[in-house]
Amino acid sequence: MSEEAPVIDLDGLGVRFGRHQVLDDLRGAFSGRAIGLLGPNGAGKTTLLNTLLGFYRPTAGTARLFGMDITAQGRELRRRVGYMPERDAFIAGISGVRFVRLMAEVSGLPPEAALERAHEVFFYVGLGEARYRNVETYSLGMKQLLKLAQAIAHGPSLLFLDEPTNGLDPPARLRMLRLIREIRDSGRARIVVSSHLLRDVEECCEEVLVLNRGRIATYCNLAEERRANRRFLELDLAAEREGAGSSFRAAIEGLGCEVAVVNRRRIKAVLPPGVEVRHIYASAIQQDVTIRRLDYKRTSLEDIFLQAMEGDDGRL
Amino acid sequence: MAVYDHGYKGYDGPLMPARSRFLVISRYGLREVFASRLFLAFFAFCFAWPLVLLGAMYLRYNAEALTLINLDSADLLDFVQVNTWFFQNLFLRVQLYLAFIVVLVVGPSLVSADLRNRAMPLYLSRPLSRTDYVLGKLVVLGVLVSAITWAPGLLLFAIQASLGGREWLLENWRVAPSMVIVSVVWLLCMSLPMLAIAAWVKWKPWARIVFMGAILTGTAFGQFYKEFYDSWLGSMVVAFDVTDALSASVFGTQGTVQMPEAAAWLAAAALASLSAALLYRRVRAFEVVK
Repeated sequence: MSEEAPVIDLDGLGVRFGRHQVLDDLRGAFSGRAIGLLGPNGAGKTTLLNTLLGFYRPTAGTARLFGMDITAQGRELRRRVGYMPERDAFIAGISGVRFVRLMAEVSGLPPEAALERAHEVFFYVGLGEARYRNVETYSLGMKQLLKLAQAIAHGPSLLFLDEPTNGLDPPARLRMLRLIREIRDSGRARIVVSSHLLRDVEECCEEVLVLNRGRIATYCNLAEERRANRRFLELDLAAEREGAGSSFRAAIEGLGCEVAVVNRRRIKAVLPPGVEVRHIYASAIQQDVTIRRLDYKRTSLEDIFLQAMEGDDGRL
Repeated sequence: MAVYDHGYKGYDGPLMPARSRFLVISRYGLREVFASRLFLAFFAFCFAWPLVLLGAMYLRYNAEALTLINLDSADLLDFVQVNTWFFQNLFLRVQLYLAFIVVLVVGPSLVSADLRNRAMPLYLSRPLSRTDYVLGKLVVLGVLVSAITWAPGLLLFAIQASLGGREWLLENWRVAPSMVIVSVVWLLCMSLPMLAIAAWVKWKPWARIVFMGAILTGTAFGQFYKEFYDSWLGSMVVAFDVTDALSASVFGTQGTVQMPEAAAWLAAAALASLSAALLYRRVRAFEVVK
């Protein structure tokens, strides 16, 4: 397994169930620490996850995880993968800690290490006090955390989370998102989150793949997008003297900024490399202009998503 | 990731060999089975008959003990003939009936709950194939059935061989492998259909009813066919006829069922193969609706 290889490398991946083409010619390489899969219901997010996990056999093309082919090296890959399914999934009649221990042992951990890890992950996800309870008695929120616990018990390098915040109340949702971010930031596991909740994906992912009708509608590197957004400014001005506004605009254009005038009091500017906000403030002081408001332009994931849904081409 | 340290950490420790991974499922399965005291009591009861036979064998060769309980050794020698018939009919046939109950009780609980609670994606997202999963479950039934069929059978055989001497051993050596073969074939022919039915029905009581129904329907149809057409072909769908014919074939004795050996083997192979195919169709991470 090559750590330099993309986390997910889709090479014309297609999946067909009978006459229904569920995934069609997916291509692209994704290397973020946390990759979000977005799309409306039925877009193919869960099918893509299941195909990457080896549950469905591709009918066209292939995919690689960390450079390993999902079909040819499926077993070896699954040793390094953790999976949290969307729907309730558990083994009936056993306690939570026993369930997680069993899952860790099936992943290859020796019995003693599996038991130790089971206790640790229970405390990590915040279910420590409930670990000896029968899993069937867990609430919906607890079952979500239990699914996360079994997915990380064996310390996977890649974590697939399918709708991780489904059915969670707001505090539980925040807790789940915090855990996902924490795992991401630990650098021990790459994460793929499938969700139809834009906010969840925006909060914990660096790259986003938007699927629509089984095709890639758009790809967005959120980290880069956020960085780029910091170069777009929107300013509200109050001029102390006549003509100060124009001279301020000329001054920041002189710094290399591209400037667009919205109205007499509002302008938009794009900062060139090397120019920082403090330079803008310095120009304002020089030109006797008060900056009443300065905002970074924000392109939300919602904008990106809606834009992607409008296009019907479905290719990157 | 120690309990006191709540940060996320990976696992870098040693791993168990992949080949024996299915045994984890068997180990957990066996532990769940023996968690029931009722089953434990029944399982202990399954050893009663071998103990009775062991007692009879012991008495047969112990004149002092016979005198103590006022029994004539000649009567007992005539009554308890320890030979192929003893192991085939007096021991194994009875134990296979008990094993049938074990399969009926334990079989459905092994797979139906996993499928009902959607545990398959959890198993199959790990380095575990569908074959490993089925094998793991089959080993649970294998251990239980073996423990009450060929394992005590071999123990009785060894004790009898030590008591009866070399001559008896040379005369009856075929009994030992025959007990193992019949038990294993019977295990596959009963366990695979039981697991397959449990996988499709997903509800334990119904799975048991359907399994019993299938056996009784097969028996009724087979008997009717035999009577009506005066043909052994009906025996192909009668589980107990097939078992008898197979047992006679392996032990090298005269069977009570008029059925060619090849037909019995064919019926057993067809039943096991069909059941395995049905089971594999069901043991999947997700069902694909086309």
